[in-house]
Parts: sequence; structure tokens; C-alpha cells
Amino acid sequence: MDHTTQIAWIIDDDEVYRFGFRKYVEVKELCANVVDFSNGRDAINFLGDAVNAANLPDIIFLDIDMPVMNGWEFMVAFEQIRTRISKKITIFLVTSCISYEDILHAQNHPDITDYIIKPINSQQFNLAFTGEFRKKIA
Amino acid sequence: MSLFESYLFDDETPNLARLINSVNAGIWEFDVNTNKVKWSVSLFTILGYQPGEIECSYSNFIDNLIYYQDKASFLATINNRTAQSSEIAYIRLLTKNGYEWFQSTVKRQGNAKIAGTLININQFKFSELQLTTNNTFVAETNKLLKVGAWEIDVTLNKLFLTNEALDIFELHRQPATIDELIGCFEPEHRQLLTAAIEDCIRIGRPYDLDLRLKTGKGRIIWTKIKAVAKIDNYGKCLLIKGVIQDINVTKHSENKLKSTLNLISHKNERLQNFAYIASHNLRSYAGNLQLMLNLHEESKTQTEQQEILSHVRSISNSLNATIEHLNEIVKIDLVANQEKILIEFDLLFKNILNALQSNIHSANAIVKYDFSKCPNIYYLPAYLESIFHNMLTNALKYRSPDRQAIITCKSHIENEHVYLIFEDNGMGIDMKKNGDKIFGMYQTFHNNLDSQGIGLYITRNQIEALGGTITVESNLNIGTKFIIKLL
Repeated sequence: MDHTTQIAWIIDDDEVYRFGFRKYVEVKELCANVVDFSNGRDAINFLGDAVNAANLPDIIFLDIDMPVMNGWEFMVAFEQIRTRISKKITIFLVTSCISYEDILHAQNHPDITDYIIKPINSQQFNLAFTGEFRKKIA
Repeated sequence: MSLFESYLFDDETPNLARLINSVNAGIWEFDVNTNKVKWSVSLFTILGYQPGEIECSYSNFIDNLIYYQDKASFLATINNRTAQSSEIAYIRLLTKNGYEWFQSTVKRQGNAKIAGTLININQFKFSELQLTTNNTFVAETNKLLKVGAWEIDVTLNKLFLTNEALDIFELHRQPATIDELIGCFEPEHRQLLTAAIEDCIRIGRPYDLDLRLKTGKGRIIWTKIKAVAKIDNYGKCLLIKGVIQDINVTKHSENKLKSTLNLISHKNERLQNFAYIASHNLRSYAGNLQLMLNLHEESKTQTEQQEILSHVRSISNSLNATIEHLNEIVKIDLVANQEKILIEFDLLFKNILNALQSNIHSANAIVKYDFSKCPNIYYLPAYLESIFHNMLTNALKYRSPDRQAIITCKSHIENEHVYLIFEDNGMGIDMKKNGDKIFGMYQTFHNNLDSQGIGLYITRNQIEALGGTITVESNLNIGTKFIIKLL
């Protein structure tokens, strides 16, 4: 088991999916520490707050369609505070919506590592958690 | 002493008789008392015979030579005793080449004698016939195409319309001036035509316009007006020659086609939207269900399994609700064809207020309404009810926590369309961010737990299914205004 990933975030408004994600990670023993947010705003507030510097995630699974602050808006806000974040964070876009525009947008986005289509694809998840994606990018 | 009797076959004829015999006209004389007939040589010639080749007699002429249908008109000229001048008839005679047209002139010479001339007019008659046929053909074609011609003599500033053109205008006389002609057109098109005529005169630019005119009988019809300039060697416009065509039927079907196309593309758009929503929503449930089943297989404890099962149940519930929603949307188009009835806005709105009384009370909201500018409408009651209900609950749900909610609903008529305006002083929506999504399905912008993202989507579909539109204006933290065009 690879322990590259210490903290994983799931940002998704779908409560069932958040539960499933957490459970899946637990069962597969992919990561010991899963934190969830139901929208982008809560997550960005957490990231931007210096108090939380020690609890920043290694990896974020980000949903696109969410109320209050959606995935793309989160990415814009993330760029603005990125310089204040010391940790290297890998971001995966996760959505059930197969939109060609979104895929292109994700592929061309410098801060997004890859695009994962729901439901959970075990192979993609294992790669994501073991850092295979990051190696590929680097 | 008759001119012909003595000289008819004689080579020694005097000059006058020779002249008469050589012209391309046959001359005859008839003695009423003796029934005796004399023919000139040329009469034989124009019938294609040698003199004496056929019998020169009254009975031969009447029984054999003259075409039976023309007999009566010819005899009438002979028997007319009162006539002072020459009587003319157009008759067909059997020549050596068959029947040909002749002009017969008959003149009484006192009481006893009648004289006459026959001139072959076959060529002329045929040209005339052809011309008439052609003219009829052109006229009939013009009538079928509903085309008329007109021209403006620029130097004389005179206007002329053909009968077909006058028919299109349903006028009984020529318009006296160009301005009078332009005055026949609808006010909004007059400027266009005036400018086109001026341009045609000034720079010889041809034009082709679709304009509406009011006919002499007061009908308003669409016409196509085309014209070209006839210019002289110096490029100066002398004449504008044009045609006018009644294209009312075509134009109307064109407009009908346009609106049908509009309706269909609208419907298509809604259908596509629906397909997208259906697939997107069902997909996320299917994904979650699969995820839960996988977890269930891997779960080790009973508590874990039970927790997973409870989630499966909640997925099943949401799936059911979504399918209900989709069903409701499908029903909108089915119901849209039902009969509309006259609804009093006032009565219906009060009913909805009663139904929502507890919600309004607990929100401590003030609801105002004014339907005096348009008190009623022919609409589907179920839809209007749903629209009122959704707009009100929406305004209550998204009221601002900082102030007392004030919701107003008004109706009015604009350009023959019935409008409903809903205005609130609630939380508002960030139009820049969410303006295009507000009427989408499962789009929620606030963190309200009871936001389903279905109300406005259904409202929009109901309004659009009956041919209306809904638009929104909003400012964050100030309020929202929905503008609904019902019909």
C-alpha cells in the first residue's frame, strides 16, 4: 500500500456520493484521512485560512455541478489563493456529466491533473491515490 | 350600262375596267329584279380561279362559296334597304385553297341594283387572331400570377397602370399622381417606396420590395414591387418600368411557416434539454447505486451493510422523485393542448394565497397584487395555478433574512400580449454567474435545504408550452423580478 496520500478532500453536493467515496477509500485503504465539503465555497474558505496550514490536502476530488460555488468557480478562487498555499495539491475533476466542453476545459487547465467520470472507477482511483497520475504529469 | 357585262372577258377593256380587274379586290353587281350577277375578273382571281372556271351566279355564291356560318351576316348587308352608306361584313369564302377571310362591302345602287367589293383579308385576320390569342394569353397569365405592370414617365411626371395592376390595387381609375399611388401603401412602407423611386430616378438603381398596401376595397395585402429604370444615352432616367404582384397568399404562408419553424425549433430545444436532464440525472443515480452495491459486497460488518442499505433506500427515493419530475415535464406538453378557459386573475390568485396562507404567515411576508390593467385571460387553469404557486413559494423561499419580504404580482397588456410581473425584495440571484441557469433543472444557487431546483424549470416549461416566455431581472441582495409573457 502506498502512503503518498495523507489527506484527501471530496468536494461534492451529493451526500450519497460523499458517503460512498469515503467508504470506498476506507475499504480500499487508499487514504487514512478523508475530509468532505458540500460546496466549493466551504472548501476555499478552509484552504485560505492560515490556521489550517497543517491540515491541507494532498489531493482534491472536485465536483463540477454544485450550488453556492461550483467546481469551475472553485478553480478560479483557488488560483487567487494558490501562492499562499505551501503544499502541492493535486486536483481531480469528478462529475457525472459527460460534457465535451468540460473535458476540454479540464485538459487545458494547468491546475487540474485529470478528469474522472462518476461513478467510481477503481483503476483511476488507485492511480490517483498512489500518485501515478502525478508521476505521469511530471 | 354595266361596267362588267361588256368588258368582263374582253381584252379591249378601257383603262378603268382594266384597272378594276387588276386590283386585289373582287367586284360584283347584282340585279335584284332579274337575279343576274356580274363578277369582275379579279373576283375570280382572288378566289384562285381563272375567269369562267366557276359558275358566276347568285346561287353558286350563296350555296357553295360562302361559309354557312357567315351566310346570315352577309345576307343582312344585302337585304338592308335602309342603309345609306356601305355595309361591311367579314365572311369566309371557299377559295381554291380552302376557306379564307374576306371583307365584303355592299352598297345599294338605287332600288334595283346592289354592288359590292370583296377584299382578301386572310393574312390580316390571322395576325389579328394570333394577337388576340397572345393578348388573352398574357392577360390570363398575368391574372393567374396576379401581376400587373406600371410605369412612370419621369420627364412628364406621369403614371400609368395596366388594368391588371389596377385590379391588384382594386382601383377603378388611374391614380392621378405618384403620391396618390404611394398613399395606397401602408404608412410604414411609404418612406421605403418613395426612397426607392427617388433612387431609381436619380441613379437608375432597380428595386425589388415586398410592401403592404391597402386596396380600394380596404383589404390589406402583401405585394411585391419590382422596377427598372429606362435611361437615355446620357444616363438620365426617362421612364421607370415596373411590375406589381399580389403575393399575399405566399407571404402569409411564409409567415405561417416561419412561426411553425420557430415553434418546432423551440420544442426541439426543450426536448434536447429534457433528454440531457434525464440522462444526467438518471446517470448520477445509477452511478451511486453501483457504488453502493460495490461497497455492500466489500463491507464486513452488519452495521456497515445497514448503513449502505439506508443509502440505497435514499437513492431509490430520490430516483423516484426525479422520475416523478420528469413525468411532470412530459405531461406539460400533453396538457398544453387542452381547452383554455377564461380565468379571473384575482380569483385564482386569492385561492393560491389561501393555500399558502401558513407559509406566508410564518415568513411574515406581505403579498400585494393588482390585476386591474388586465383582469382575466384565456389560459389553462392548472398551469396558471402552478405558475402562481411556484412564483410565490419561490419568492417566500428566497426572501432576505435582513428585511420583511414584500412580494407583488401585477398583470398588464403590451403589444396585444398579456404579461404577469412578479417582484420581490429577496436574496436575489447573481445574474452574471447564474443568469443563464436559473430556469434549468436541478439548478440551485442558495444553500437552502428545501431547494429542489425543479419549480422554475416546470414554470418555464408550462409557460413555453403555451407559447409564452419568462425572463428574469435580479440584483443580489436587492430582489428579483420575473417578467412572464403568458400569451
